[in-house]
Amino acid sequence: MKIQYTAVIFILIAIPIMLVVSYYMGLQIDSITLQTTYNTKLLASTKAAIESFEINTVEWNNKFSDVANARRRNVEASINTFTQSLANNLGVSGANKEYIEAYIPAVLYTLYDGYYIYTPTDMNETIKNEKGQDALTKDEEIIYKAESGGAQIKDAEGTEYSNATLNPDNAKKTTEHTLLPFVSYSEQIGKMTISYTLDNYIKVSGEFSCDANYKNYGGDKTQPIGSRNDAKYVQEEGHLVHNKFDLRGKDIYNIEYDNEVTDSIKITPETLTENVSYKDGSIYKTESFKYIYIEDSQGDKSKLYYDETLASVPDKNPWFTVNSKNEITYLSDYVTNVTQYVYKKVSLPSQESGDLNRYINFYQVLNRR
Amino acid sequence: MSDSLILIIAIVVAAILMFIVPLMSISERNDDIMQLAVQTATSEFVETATTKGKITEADYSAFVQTLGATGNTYSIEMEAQIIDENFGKKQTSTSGNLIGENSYYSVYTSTIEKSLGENKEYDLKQGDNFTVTVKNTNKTIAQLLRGFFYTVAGNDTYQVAASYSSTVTSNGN
Repeated sequence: MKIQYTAVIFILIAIPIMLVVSYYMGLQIDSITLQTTYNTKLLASTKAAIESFEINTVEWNNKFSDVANARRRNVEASINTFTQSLANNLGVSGANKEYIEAYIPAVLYTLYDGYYIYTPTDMNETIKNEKGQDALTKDEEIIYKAESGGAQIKDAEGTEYSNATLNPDNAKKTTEHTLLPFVSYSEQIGKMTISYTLDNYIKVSGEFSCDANYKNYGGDKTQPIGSRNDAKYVQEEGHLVHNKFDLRGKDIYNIEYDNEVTDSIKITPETLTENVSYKDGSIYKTESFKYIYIEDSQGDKSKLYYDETLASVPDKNPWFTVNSKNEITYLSDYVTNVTQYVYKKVSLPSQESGDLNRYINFYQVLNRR
Repeated sequence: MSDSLILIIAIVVAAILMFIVPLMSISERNDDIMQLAVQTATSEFVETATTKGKITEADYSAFVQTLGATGNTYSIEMEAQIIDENFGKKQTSTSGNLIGENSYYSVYTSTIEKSLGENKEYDLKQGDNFTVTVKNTNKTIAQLLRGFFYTVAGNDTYQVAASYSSTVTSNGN
């Protein structure tokens, strides 16, 4: 009898302990599940945003990409798709954008030559007229809502607004989600500014003073342009190439800059690689290959991949293309004359002020073997 | 007297420990597995529909069968947000040429099911959104046991729920 008594006492002590521990484990499992669910939904929404960005910008889609050059508009449309998709995934598909945005601290779009950030920023609160637009005075000044000590101001149509001000410093601040202006990837080294892109196209501008050691090989690949006693303003842009390839005179070779005091940089080109899925017999394989862009005689552009395993095999061409059915076609002629290569051209509006219709052409570049 | 009392308590505790507790924990895990299966099936159905550009009767039937195979009954809610290209109201800054700039109007489960029954498919176009939400309508074993022991679960709560949404990337014709 004593043992049963002991056993029951043991059970009475052990069961609450077990209940509490299992409840705690259940809570942990639930929070991990919820975390995973949120991650999945966020990933699905990001995928929808990028899919819509791609459909809107890719050149072969006639319906949506007439405005392919309006980069800022594409980014804003993509952000709308993201918030809409997130609302759908969370089950609040009727919610408006501002409701969902309150939970999004930032959205970052890294583009070819810079980035956009969509984030809450302090804005001056403006007064809207009956059409929903910002009210403007006769001199086309914006009427803000005053923080303190506002006055009566009339707009161009004669409507009077109270508690208004024309001074933006005295305006009431609100926090709204805005797409901040485009920021390009650039760096300042000494007196030089270098603008980068995601592949090998760079723009170098600045002053090279006489106490800087700078070598830049121009059209003639053997003589440097700048020398020790030369001080001048230079602006050059082009694709960084490896010195084995001889391309058009606009290309920049490895940039070296060293003023032997504070700054020194060396910029070298980057080899572009891509994962390619191809058919080997009946099996699909995926491997990483280096590639360049080429344009054939009809003006069709394609990517040319380089198979390193065939590089040293004689009579075998290491360059190949992959078609939409993932089949490999090796080129019949060995590619030696590299001046026939051109680049995939992307035109983006110029960031320089003054000239509104100017576009900078960026080229996705040739890289080394 | 006290011996029999202890004996009764011991038997009750043993019964609970040996039968009810394992049943509860297994049924909870079973619910987790079903949740995963339902979420996977829902994602697959939505992705297939958005990649193809249309919701077909065959896909929908296969989806319903997969859900039925878990042993529960579900209520399926579908919502297709269609890009409205002919909206009459003026927009201040957009001309509606991009995905993400347009207004959408929503089409719900009954309309889609009617179209599936008549035409065997429901066409979507690029830029539309398609959302599917699935909730279970019967009480799972875990829900029953929990309700019995804790009297916590209400009549409307669901245990297994999955929801997925995606943007259509190609036009169905």
